[in-house]
Amino acid sequence: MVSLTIDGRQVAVDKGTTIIKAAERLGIYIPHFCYHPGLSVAANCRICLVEVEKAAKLQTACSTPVAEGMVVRTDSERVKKARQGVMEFLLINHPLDCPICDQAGECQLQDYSYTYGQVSCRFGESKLHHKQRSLGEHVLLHPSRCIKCTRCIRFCQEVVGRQELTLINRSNHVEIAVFDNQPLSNDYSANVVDLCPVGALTLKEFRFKERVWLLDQAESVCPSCSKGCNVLLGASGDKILRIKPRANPAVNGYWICDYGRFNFHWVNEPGRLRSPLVKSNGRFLPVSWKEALDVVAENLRRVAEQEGPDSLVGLGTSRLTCEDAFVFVRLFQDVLMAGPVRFPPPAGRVSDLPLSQDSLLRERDNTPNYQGVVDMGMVPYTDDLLGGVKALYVAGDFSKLPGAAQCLNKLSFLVVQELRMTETAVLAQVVLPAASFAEKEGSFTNSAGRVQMVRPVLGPLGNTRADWEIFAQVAKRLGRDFGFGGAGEVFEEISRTVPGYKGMDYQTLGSLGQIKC
Amino acid sequence: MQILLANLDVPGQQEIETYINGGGYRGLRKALAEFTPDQLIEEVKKSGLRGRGGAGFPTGLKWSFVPKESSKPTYLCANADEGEPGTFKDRVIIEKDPHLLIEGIIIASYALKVKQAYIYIRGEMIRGAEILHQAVNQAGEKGFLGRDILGSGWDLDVLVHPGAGAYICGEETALLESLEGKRGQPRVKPPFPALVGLYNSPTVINNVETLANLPAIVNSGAAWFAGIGTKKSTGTKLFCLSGHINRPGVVELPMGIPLRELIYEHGGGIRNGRELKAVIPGGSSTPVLKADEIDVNMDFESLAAAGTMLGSGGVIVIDGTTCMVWALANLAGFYAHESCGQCTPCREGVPWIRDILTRLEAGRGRADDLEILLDVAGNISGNTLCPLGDAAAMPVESFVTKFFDEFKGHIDGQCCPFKAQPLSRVASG
Repeated sequence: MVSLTIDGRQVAVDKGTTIIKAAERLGIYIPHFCYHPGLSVAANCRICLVEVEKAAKLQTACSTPVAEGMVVRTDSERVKKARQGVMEFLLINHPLDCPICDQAGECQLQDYSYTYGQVSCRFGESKLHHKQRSLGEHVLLHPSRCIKCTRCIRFCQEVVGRQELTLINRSNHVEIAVFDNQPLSNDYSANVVDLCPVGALTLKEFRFKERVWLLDQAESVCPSCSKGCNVLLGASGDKILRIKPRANPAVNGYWICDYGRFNFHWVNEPGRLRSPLVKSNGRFLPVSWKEALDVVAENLRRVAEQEGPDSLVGLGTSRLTCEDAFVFVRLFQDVLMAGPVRFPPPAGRVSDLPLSQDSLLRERDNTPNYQGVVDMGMVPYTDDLLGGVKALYVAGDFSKLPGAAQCLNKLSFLVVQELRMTETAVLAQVVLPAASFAEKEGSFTNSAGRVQMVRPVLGPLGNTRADWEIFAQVAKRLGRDFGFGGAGEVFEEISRTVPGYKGMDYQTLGSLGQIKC
Repeated sequence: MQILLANLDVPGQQEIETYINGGGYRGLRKALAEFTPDQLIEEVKKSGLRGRGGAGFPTGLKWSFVPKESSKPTYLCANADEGEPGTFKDRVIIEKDPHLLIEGIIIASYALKVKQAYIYIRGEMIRGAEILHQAVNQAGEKGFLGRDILGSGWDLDVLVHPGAGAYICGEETALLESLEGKRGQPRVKPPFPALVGLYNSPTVINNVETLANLPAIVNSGAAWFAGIGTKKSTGTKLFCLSGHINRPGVVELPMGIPLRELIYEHGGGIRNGRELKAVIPGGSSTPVLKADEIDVNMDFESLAAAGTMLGSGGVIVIDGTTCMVWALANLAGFYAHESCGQCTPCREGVPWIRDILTRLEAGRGRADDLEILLDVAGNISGNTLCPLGDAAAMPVESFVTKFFDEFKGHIDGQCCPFKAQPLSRVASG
């Protein structure tokens, strides 16, 4: 350990720690643009200059390792002057177009101008201008706003392992560029937009959609594979507008893949189910929840009484939350006294289908909660169990499973709980509109066994409800009131009864999750 | 006292036979026969030899930073990317007496147990690169390079690598980047090249003139070398005389020679008998001296005490017909063009300075320009990733401070008072 003093306060850190990290330990914030904990040190922006006793020059806090007895000042007059100088340099050729810049509101250049900059401008020469241009499918470059911190270059090079971006030219003509017009096309390309501390790199899919301070935001988990990358959902009205990575060193570091980032259109789809539907004379009619749930409960009871509980089968999916799966299983096992709820094993787990998978984040299983639904007691589906089935409760899509077609024709009752009208739902007597992951609270357990919370960024869409809530209401009509007042209470029950989840609650899961034991 | 230029005018000096006949490669033979590598490093330390590229760092000490035990090879790079305006001394050695450099490289490589050395030569020096290629080939034919050099069991290859025209590649870590085939821009230090240099391996980068001193140090001994010059600035120095001087060119003189003597005796005085106005003593980045400040000795310590630097030894003489605003605008233009653009203060600040000076010289100065110039230079100075920012800022601070009235006159009169005397442009341009 090395002990040093920063702004008059003592701290002991590991040898090799840089000043910026040591300061962080003390809660002292040192401004930085080019420094990023997930990338190599570039020390090119010079905003993190600090005063180190006995060093003639100011030192960059991002690159300077601590030394025993070192005395650092992060707020001396010399430091303030240097910072102000750097801020001025960064702005002289900057277009100052904050009113129409997508980054406004989450721009370090703006924030630091406010904190460390100066009010007046003394630059009386002509600014340099550059035209914006596309770097790739998702990313647009506004060179005039760029501060050349090279985070984007380093990300492609160091994290993705592809040399796709570079600096070209010299002096104040330096620009970020692709090589020989080869577009920025790696599977993680949009991370450069999050990394960009200013408005130089913007996302084509998000630009001009919303001022960021007007976004509703929620910390959640990406539902696009079993990795469980931590994300920040950004929404406005009833639409998700963007998904950004949220740092979790134990899961995704600072990144998410482009597939996960842009895979939210199904939440925004205009054709989403908004009301329970009951089929009458071959046509679906919107009905109240009460009416729909009565029909479901009545039919499940009827089939159970006539054909025996084994003729009832629940079919879920590993896209359900732990809470959804838990109540589903309880409904079938404890209330209907039927067999375990089944779920189709995700394609990536049963075959060598060329699903995307890479060494960085993407996993073959493109569902978020395989581990969780198994822990809650759901059992992988096999077609042999459909022999005697008479009533089927499907939460998910069933049509592509082997044996589905024959089975669906012979059913006495089919209820489908889904986000949209699927091939299976078309055949059902009752269709129940479910909430998406972006509209409910719950938890996913990733492939490493980390239990993480999803949180709603959108209000309920129309008359949709969370899956667990629908299952609980069906149970109530069948005579069993679980008494769950919210997803949190379901999770409390999980933590009491499911091995591995003991002692967890939404509080302890926090924003980074917790490994089940 | 001629160590480096002694054989400059010998006909055919570029040929190895001529070089050997004049006593060449004796230093190498002696080094291999009489010194272990560690003893050689000690000898160079004792000689007091300091780097001739500008910074003046003790050469032996620099060598001693290379780890004695390393799983990686050690590399030596001869920095022949001579690009500082007003500096043209290395070029003379390269073109006129190339084997002096080659022999120096071989001796240094032996001391550092180097098996692969590079000469990174400025791209514009096409003739110099050709001469070095030939010299390397000849040295190989004579057994001074290649396998089992002079029966010592030690191997060494030298590769001549031309740069691509960037001034910044004379900065040692930018040189390494360029040598590795990357964009020429300086690295963050630490780590220093002695530990992590070329291809992540321990590397020593020495200036051409520095290396060319080694044969003489080995031949005549550290004590002899240390007896030349001053106590802390030992040996001779190549001075490049340029500007408004009667006899421009490279002269070799002991460290510590008075600047006045250098200009008026060795340089023949000011051209056309004009009055001296200013001298830039050590290459374009070193702070300027006014005419009444030239009673200073040309060694590292004396010039530092006078508020300037020995630098590369490029002495630029400026006479009374020269507009200092124009001269500084010219220098700023050079640094603005050569900034690699990597770090903020240099990338943005130096072109800003150039723009202000260009406007000032064009008669469009503003009242607060000088204050801004000094403040911007101050915000660059010491705050950049490599010394190029300092190099650009130092002349600004010294020119504006020392010739304040001339700068202010441009603003007050909204014109350049020297415009009526185009001669200075012809002379300096």
